[in-house]
Amino acid sequence: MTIQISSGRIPVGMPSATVRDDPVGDQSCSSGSSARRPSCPTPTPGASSGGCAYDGSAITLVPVADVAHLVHGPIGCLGNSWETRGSLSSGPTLHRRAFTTAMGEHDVIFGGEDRLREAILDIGRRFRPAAVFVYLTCVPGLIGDDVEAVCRQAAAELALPVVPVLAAGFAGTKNAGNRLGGSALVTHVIGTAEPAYTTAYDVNLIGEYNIAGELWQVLPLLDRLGIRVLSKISGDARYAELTWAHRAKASMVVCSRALLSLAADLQARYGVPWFEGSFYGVRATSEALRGFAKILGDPERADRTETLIAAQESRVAALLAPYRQRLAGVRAVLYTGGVKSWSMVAALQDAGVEVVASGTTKSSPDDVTRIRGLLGADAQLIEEGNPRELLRIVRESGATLLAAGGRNMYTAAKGRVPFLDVNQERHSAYAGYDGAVTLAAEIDRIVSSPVFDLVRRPPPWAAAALTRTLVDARFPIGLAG
Amino acid sequence: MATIVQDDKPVTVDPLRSSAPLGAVLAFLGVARCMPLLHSSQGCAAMAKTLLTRHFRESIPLQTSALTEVTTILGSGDSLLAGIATVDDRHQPDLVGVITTALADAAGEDVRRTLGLRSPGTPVVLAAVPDLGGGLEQGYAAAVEAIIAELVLPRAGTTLDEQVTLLPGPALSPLDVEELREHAEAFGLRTVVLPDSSRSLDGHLDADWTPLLSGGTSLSVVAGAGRSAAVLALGAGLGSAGRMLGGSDAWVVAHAIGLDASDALVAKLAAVAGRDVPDALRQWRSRLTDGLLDASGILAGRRVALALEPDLLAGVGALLTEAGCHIITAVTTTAPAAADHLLDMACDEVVVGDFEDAEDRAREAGAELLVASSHGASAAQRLGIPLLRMGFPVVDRLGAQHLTSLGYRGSLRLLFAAANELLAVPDCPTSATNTTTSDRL
Repeated sequence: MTIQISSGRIPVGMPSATVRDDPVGDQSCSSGSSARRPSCPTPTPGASSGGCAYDGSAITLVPVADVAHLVHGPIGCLGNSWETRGSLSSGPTLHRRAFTTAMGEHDVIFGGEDRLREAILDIGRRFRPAAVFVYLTCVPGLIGDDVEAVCRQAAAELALPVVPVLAAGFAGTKNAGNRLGGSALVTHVIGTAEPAYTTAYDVNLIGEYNIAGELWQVLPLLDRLGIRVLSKISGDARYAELTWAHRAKASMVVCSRALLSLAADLQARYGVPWFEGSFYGVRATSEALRGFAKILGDPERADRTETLIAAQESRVAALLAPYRQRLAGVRAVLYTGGVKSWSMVAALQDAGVEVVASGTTKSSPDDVTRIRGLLGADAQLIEEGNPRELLRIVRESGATLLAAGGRNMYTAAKGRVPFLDVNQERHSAYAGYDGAVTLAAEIDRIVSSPVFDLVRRPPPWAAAALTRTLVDARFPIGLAG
Repeated sequence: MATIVQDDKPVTVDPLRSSAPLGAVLAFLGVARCMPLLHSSQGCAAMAKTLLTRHFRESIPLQTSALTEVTTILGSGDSLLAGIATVDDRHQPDLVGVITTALADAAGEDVRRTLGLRSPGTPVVLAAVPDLGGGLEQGYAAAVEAIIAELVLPRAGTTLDEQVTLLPGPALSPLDVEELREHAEAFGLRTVVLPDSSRSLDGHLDADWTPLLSGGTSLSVVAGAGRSAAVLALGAGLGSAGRMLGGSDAWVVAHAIGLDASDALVAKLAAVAGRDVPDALRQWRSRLTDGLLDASGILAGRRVALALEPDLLAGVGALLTEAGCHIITAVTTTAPAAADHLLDMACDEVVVGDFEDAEDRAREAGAELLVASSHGASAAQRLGIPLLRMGFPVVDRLGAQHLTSLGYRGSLRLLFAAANELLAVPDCPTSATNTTTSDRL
């Protein structure tokens, strides 16, 4: 059973917040069975650029700031990936220390459990973390290190929670890893303690990682509605708040397909209802706030919410107006994974940008429907977005902006196309009403740069006959005029 | 004289060591139209690619055999062959550089045998790297040796008197490699540079995006690497590679950083070419000596901590010691088999450890400057000292591929960068506004 919100203010195609109490079913990587879903593709040898399950589990869990995150594996797993994510903390920064057992040949031959145990004990004693999270990787997974047993023993010895995260790289994709990270929380962490007090307006945020401080753009809004975020999973989080997430009155899953399973588990075990939403863009932010009001079921709060939304929307409309004017005519191709696709489309449109194509890799059928709704029926959907393909689409659609993950930054640069980073490595915060203005300002800053014209021009001293370049009459002159 | 100390603590904190496969990828990226392919689960390649992309600010070609839980056990060889075939099909590279990883090793696959089963197609070179114990330099060396073993024609036929083979190690940035080549060319020598990142990873804009890097040493040039009159290897780990090409006459040094080491490189090239040192190099030497005097006003007596790969550690240590610094902390990634360059350092200990080791020792010894990659920034901040960025990865500043250190010119750049980091510290006692070199003499 789903409850639809009806409101004249929602544009056609904009997803309304629906309270979910139906099983998540086919829409996510969350069936709980280890069988791979048909639409979760196995990576193709020789044509793969996705991350692994360990990576995904780290995305979900490493933002917990007072926990020591220990990677059990050879040096490469952590060595090549530490300090790449932009999740910020308002306090402890233990999560930014990189701990690894750096397994060697001896460990592979004789097993790595001893080394792992020593490592956990050392960390526990020297760093006094709130907990230790231990991430399994391919090699110890393959040789059969019993990470769970070692964690149990070490936890007993240290009188400290030691949580095994069993998401070895080769177990699946980044999405699978996100889900497995969520599972680790449900299995070992959530429900193990009680909060000092509860209120009728306690909620969980699931899948919000405080990239570039985005959480801090959202919390003040919830504050003003008297909504207390009981547990943040996991941006700017502390271990303790994860333990009592089961006491929330509702959860919001923020832009995360894979963590729907976590929300569903909280509902199944503890009766916590949940809804999905996003904080990217004005419309999505307003819908998310309405979602909270509805799920908490308090009419007075619902009124306050509408008042807040009206005030914020008109404030932001005024701030966005000059950008919308400057950015009129900017056409963007958006290529990013999963749920972010539809929310970023809406956010770009709020900034006045026309989105001419959007990626749908890792998107569920639901996401795809939403994207179509936002873009219109002849929306171009990009399923396979290798760099050549992306540049072709950009060229053919006359796009003047590529919005994608950092991996494609240099695709854009080589193609002399303005680029907006919308992924984890970015340094700009785009959430909430203020974030929508930041996004517009950032797009303006980027597309207004004179370099794009400059680098497309051949040098004056070059021979008359030039090899074919991307200097093309269809590219509008940059907005720098 | 230094002793090498192995840190035996139970857990690595803030790793200094990069994985050996990463080093192998770096080497392959200096071969023209090469697609390196990691035999691993897809995450290894994704992470390595992200890291290399951030450092070089370039689209990096790198693929994977994308092993899964199932295929690792039941048929990793099939995945590898499928991966190579796909890469062939989509990108038509001139070379596929296959790199083993700890996973493939732990799975016990005989990769060479697998590759032997392959039907003929694009050339493949297999670099079996020590992912479980080695680091960047070891992986890089393994790849270079593999390239030489597979692609260089045996050392028969006429030796070309005017040709020299240059083997730049991983401590040389792309512009260092160019500097090295230009050194030799200044003496009228023709060069085979293997691998050559100077035009593949230098950061240049082509007419369009391409799936493979432009630049690098072509296979036809690689084939002739064994016919040179001399072989010069700049990297202690490249001794075996050098001897494969040049026998016992191969000239192998850990680095060419600092006045002494730069002089040695120039002297060697002069001897090989049988010519006088050209005017341009003489002028650069006089600029370096002048710069050493200028910088010594700021650097003499200053306490410096280094956390770098072995070649770079020895080289940067040598230069800063020439300028009068005291190297009071030296931490590195691995203890290489040939370690004279570390033992010769003017510090008490060279520690094989991590950034935590570097930070602890730097704090205890009162370091005033840390020389390390971008990963040293947190430690430097906690220590309250500036960080001079060198090595890999440098991702929080632009121009990583332009961080030169080789020869007179590179040494001068590095020297001024070190001095300027200290000058930029507020209330620096030797700031330019307070003293001049002549005052201090």
